[in-house]
Amino acid sequence: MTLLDRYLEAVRKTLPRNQRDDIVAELRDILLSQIEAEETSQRRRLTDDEIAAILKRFGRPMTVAARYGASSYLIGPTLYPAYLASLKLVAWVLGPMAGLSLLLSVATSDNPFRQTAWHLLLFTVIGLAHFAIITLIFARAEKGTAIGTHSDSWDPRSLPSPQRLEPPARSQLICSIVLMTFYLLLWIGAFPVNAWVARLNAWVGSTPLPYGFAPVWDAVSPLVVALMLTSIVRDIVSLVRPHWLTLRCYIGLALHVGALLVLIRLVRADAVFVVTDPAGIGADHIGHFNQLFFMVLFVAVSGAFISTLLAVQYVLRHRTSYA
Amino acid sequence: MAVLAQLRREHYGYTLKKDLADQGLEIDEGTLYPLLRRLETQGLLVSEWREEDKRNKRFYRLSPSGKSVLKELLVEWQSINAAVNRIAGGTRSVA
Repeated sequence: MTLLDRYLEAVRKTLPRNQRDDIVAELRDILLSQIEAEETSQRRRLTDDEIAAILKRFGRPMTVAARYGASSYLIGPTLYPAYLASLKLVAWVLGPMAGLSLLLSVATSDNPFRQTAWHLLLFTVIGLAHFAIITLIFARAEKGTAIGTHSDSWDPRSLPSPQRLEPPARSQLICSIVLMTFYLLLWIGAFPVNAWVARLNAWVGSTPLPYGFAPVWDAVSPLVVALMLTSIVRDIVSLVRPHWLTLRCYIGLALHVGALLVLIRLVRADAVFVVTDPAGIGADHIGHFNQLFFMVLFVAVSGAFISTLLAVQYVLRHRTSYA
Repeated sequence: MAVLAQLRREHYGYTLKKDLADQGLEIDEGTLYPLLRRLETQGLLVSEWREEDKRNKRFYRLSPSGKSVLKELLVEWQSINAAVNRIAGGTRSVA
């Protein structure tokens, strides 16, 4: 992909959708004409550096797109790069601080689960407050456009190559189908796991754990089965129709949302493990056991939430870029 | 008005900018190209994609409605120009 293609792709992203192809075609023609005129006058092909200089002179992709779009915005194309850089800076400062503070408090606290929850809440509030303040400052600066000076410190060569949807490899799909089928069979009890565990305990001479699964697992089971089946069907469809990528993309998003719902349901339960021993053996430790698992679940929920957001962004990006 | 006048003859974006510049009217490309689209949306220009030199180019020209608007604008411009000249001449004689 040439520098010009990358530049036009960056412009395309923020253009009004109904005119996108037409404007990009026209911009391509305009820029190619400039490049050709320059090549004619110099009697040689232009280097990437020279093409980059032409693109730089033409303007930042967002600025160029804004000239064609009648849309109004809170933070315009001139200030947006500085706004983004400010948000990134705050994230880079707050992120490690939050991580360090969380580690210290968890290591020194009697109730690590509560401390984790409290710290995550605290830093979410601090992060949102910073986000709001920075957004307000830039929105104010946008209104008084006198502050918005045009920066020339961008380089067209740093524009990213657009990520296009690619069908997954067949081997990857087959592995995924086999693994997911195995997990599904395991989940619905197709394998005599309890008998295997009992036999293993008898063989090594240890007593079985006095814990079992809490009723919440039965509550989430239909959704888990549905998610696994959907995943298997999605991969089979991808094997047969590798280029049905949009469908795969949307199903992937639905799977992320489903997994997040399952995890949230588990986190909200009173307990995920219960004592199964009639004599109440293990009752002293069940609280700690659950607490430990809740911590793991809490991290999993955060991870699932972030990955769902990324999946939404992925779907939106490909929807807007290639629809 | 200058753009409309120049587009009495068909041009594509780059040659239009160049021709205007050659005649002493430099228009920033960030202004010119979106302006062409706006004029087309207003029905003053018509455009057509055509292949030239092995590349698709968009050619603009004045529409019938653009021709009549240009005619009115030129009359208005000449009258304003004459008035300003008279005023400027009068000021000079006073000074």
